[in-house]
Amino acid sequence: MTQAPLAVEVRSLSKRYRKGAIGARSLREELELFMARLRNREPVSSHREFYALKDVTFSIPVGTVCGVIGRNGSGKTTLLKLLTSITAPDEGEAVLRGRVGSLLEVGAGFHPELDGIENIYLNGAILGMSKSEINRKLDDIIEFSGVEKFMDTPVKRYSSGMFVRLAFSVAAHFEPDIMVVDEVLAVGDADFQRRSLGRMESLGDAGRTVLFVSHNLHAVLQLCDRALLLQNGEIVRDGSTHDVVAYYEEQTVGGGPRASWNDDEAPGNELVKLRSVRVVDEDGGTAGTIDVRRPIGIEIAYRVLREGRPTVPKIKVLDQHGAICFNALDTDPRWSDPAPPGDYVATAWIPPNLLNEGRHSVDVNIVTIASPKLIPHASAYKIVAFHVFDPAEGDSARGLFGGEFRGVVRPLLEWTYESD
Amino acid sequence: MTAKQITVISSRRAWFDLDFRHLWRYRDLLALFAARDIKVRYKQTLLGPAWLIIQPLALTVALTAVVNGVAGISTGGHPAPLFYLTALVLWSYFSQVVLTTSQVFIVNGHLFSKVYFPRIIVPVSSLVSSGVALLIQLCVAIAFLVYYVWIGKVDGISWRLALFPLVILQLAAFSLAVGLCLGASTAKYRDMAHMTPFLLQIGMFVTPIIFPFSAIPERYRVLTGLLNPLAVIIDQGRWCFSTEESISATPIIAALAATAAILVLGVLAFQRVERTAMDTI
Repeated sequence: MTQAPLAVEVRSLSKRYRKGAIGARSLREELELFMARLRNREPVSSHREFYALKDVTFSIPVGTVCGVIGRNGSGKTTLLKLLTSITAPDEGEAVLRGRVGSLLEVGAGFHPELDGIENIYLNGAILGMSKSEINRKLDDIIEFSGVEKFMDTPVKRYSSGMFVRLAFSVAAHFEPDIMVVDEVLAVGDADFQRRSLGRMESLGDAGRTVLFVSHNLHAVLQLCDRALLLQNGEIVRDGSTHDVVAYYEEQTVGGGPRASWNDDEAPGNELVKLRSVRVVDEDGGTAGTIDVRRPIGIEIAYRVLREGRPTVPKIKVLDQHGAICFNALDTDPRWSDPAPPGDYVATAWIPPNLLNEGRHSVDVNIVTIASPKLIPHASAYKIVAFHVFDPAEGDSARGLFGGEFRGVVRPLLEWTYESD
Repeated sequence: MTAKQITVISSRRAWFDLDFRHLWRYRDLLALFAARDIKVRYKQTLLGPAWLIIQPLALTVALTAVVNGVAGISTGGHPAPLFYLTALVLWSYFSQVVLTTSQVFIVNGHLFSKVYFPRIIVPVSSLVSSGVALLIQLCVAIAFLVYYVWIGKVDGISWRLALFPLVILQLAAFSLAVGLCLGASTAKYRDMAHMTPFLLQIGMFVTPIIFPFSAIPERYRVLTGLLNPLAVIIDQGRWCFSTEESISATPIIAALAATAAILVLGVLAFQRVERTAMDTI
């Protein structure tokens, strides 16, 4: 197997910042530093330095769409600023093969006094397009923006929506080999976000390398083949988007796709104890992220200690806002009698195209049904979690729509038609 | 597939790496920045580009009345208005370029923190946009010259006027040099933002604008060329407008050497600062 050539190679990249004083150094401090250096002593201010990025090493093959995730202050933006030459590293180096374009802000360099056309040229050139390239794409840019009628109006008279549409249209027609994109999706309305997602996707499909920094885990899951997780300036996870996102959510929100207990600490009573709970995919593997089009299994392993009362496994699925999506009991008649002592593994299968995208957590109980009540024997709340994502390939409920698609559930309905 | 562009980002910095091929790729951006500055400067003004002419003319009138008329300072045989106007046109180019370039990191901070392009494009584009103003003002100065020739106060127009573009070139180099030095230091120490207008004010008095270069004692002229190349540049400008005045080579050589040295220093300082300026702005 031949490996794709590398578009981005980053070796031991580090960047230090000084705590507190973000402003320019004062002349006095500079003198202090100088004196300290003369006396061959560690300058006082070096204690106030911290690593915004520390010893970061990774590489990205050509044509990969790579997401960068992490909390605020984890070093994501610093990484982008280093890779786009906005600022220089303190240690290490990076090699980028191909034309590099950055989209840290749409409409960077737009001048309010200039009209639409003039700003297209200016912004295009700032992004890195040549004049002839813009000439070639001008008609497309104008058409895509949807503000054709206002091309000779100064952009200061534009509404903010028109401004963003024009700015995005320029950015969308910029086709570098390596694209570095920051939270641009955070601005604009749903339509804008959908189009920018679509644009990002087509860049990836066209064999371009994209480095995509985002807080929007849906977008990262949807677009990226690969992801990096930054924590305190260091890469703590680098791998498939699903693994990295699942790990990140486990770290931040708590609760991963699996939980298990020792005998003495297991939730339960003298009748029944839980042993483990897993979220599994249809092949039986533990899965933290699951395609909306695939079934999701909640596998509950438990031990019946003595034969007393009927024990029925039950799950409750909650969405990321804490709303209850549904409760489910195993309704099989075999549970109406007490089960003999022993180990059991029950798996509840949530059908495909039921839950909406996002993070879900699961409560697990072993209960006895005593209508109108359920008597719990063993309970674990929000014990496992998983993230449902939709690659938006057209065969899920959202079709090819890339924007926000709300609802507790996401059923794939059958539509019938009548026409005359 | 065409040869791929390779970007190496490293903590190591070359002592002097002005990659002209890299800069050449941004020539369109340079032109667009210059065009933007020209278009925007007089938007929403009543008189528009007429300000370009009003400013030096008003100053010329004031200087002629006060410096020449009241104080009686010599103009070295030139008609007073022409004498002041020639110098003022060159001076205003210098001060314009220096002022904008000294603030380049502060004014463009937001843009610089969002997208990369060689930062030196901005100062160089201001050479071009201010150059357009300079050309318009020069036309006014030449109109004055023609008028004085016509009324017989000046003997004629010399072939020397054809050398004026060389004066402009030298002026642009020196303005850029000073601007880059100040721009680099302003990015680090904000004190310089307060100092630049003040330095320019002093500069206007120590430069032969209200007095002729010939008023400087002979033995100090080379030293003047080294310390203030602009003095020599303005003298060269006046020389181009006259027919008889002589000019000596040594101060010019001194001024050229000083300009070259400051320009190298400016480019070095600017490059050093531009790599990480966005961390401190």
